Amino acid sequence: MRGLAGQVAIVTGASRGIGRAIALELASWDVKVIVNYQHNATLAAEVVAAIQAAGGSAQAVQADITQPAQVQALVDTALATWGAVHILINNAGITRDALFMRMKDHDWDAVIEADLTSAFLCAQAVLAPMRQQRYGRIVNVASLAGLAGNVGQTNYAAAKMGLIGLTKALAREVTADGIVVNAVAPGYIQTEMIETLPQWLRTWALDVIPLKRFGTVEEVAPAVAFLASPAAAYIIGHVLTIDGGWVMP
Amino acid sequence: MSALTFHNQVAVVTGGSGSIGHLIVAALAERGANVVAGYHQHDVVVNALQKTFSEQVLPVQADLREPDAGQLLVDTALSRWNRLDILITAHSMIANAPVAEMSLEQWHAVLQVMLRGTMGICRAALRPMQRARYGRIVTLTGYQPLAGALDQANYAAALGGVLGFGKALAREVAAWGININSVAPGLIERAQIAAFDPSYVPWATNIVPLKRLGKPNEVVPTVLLLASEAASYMTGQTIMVEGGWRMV
Repeated sequence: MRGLAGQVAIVTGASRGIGRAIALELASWDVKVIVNYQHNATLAAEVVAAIQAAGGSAQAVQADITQPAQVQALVDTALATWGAVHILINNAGITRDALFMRMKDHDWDAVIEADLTSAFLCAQAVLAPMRQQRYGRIVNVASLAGLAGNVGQTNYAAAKMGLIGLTKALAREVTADGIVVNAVAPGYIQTEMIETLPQWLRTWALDVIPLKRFGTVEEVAPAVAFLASPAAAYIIGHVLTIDGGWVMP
Repeated sequence: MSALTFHNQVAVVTGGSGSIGHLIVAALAERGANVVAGYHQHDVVVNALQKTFSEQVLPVQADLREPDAGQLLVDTALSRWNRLDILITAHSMIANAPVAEMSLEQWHAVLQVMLRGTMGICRAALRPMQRARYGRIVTLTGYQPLAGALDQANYAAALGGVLGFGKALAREVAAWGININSVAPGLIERAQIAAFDPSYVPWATNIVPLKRLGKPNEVVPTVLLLASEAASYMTGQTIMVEGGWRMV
């Protein structure tokens, strides 16, 4: 992706799944990557090692990004290490699936905080350095579940459509400063997260997706890298679906 | 289509004293419904509604930040009229600030009322609707999560959350005859505008093809349609009432 070389990115939740693929994709364009993780230091270290083995630069940084102080420390680490933050990928997310009438309040709250409030905090923390350099790219990893709903995921759908709302509101506020904010909405992507879905739902999904298969993380990452690149300068507040044709909104 | 009537139906409306909410309460009552008008402030408004519609409108004060507020409104409807056909969430609360200056308290305050409050009352309303195998839930949201808005990232996120939640829930409860839709007003003359930047009204007027803000009563017919039996094949939808602003 032209123009990305030498830039600095923070990718939240980058130790596995889609986040890991985004970190590797950005690194392949010579972006220096902060590999944020919350729990699994070993997996994060493996992502960093893979990037370094390919000649790139990366650093793993542990942070619970629902906590403002830890978010600030994450951004400060990027600034201290590489002197700038050009790209923020709000990718971190969790699921706590249950049918709504059986859903526990703490499972609702945990998903809203981890998938939505975290993105607000991270975006807020990168605004100052991005405004100073009058350049920035923020890409929020939302979900088709937000745009189209999904059985058993009322909390996740709320958080992810909330993230799309945040994307558009933030985009209006910061475009004048050269900061471009967009979102991607992956559909059913082959990750650990999808393994937790019930078999009937996966069967149903394969039936409604015109491509008749789940996507791969490698099919999501390039779209994120594009929106994170200088080429996306006139794409504002967009939600790019990557869903094998499931919804075609 | 026959005129929208709600004879013998029972509705709960949150934000029943609000700019749009009180008009929804009145419109439902005029068309025969019995209505619990939940409200937090402005009891003058709901008391006037009760005076006009006497037995048909029951104002109940409830703070949707309280965990049991939704249950209270639903239980009041059930104990008074023994059924619940319609839930309309029309409450609204803003705490505007640019993202760079928005406190985590402002963020959470709006999410608490607009998203979690809506979730809570939907949960309370679903049980009687499931028993009756009929229900209509209409959430009043807004253009913010669809079009963005200055100084309202919290409101856009919360209302977006309501939209995503509503669609996921619509898929879960469709089999019970419960349909969940949303009306997203565009730029409307309402009390909240006072909190906006003074440039807002001229800007909003200029960008809309109709060259004026919408009036609260122009939002009501779409709400009534989605709250009615006529909306039997509509669920998970969001209808914008926006004067041609965006046309998407």
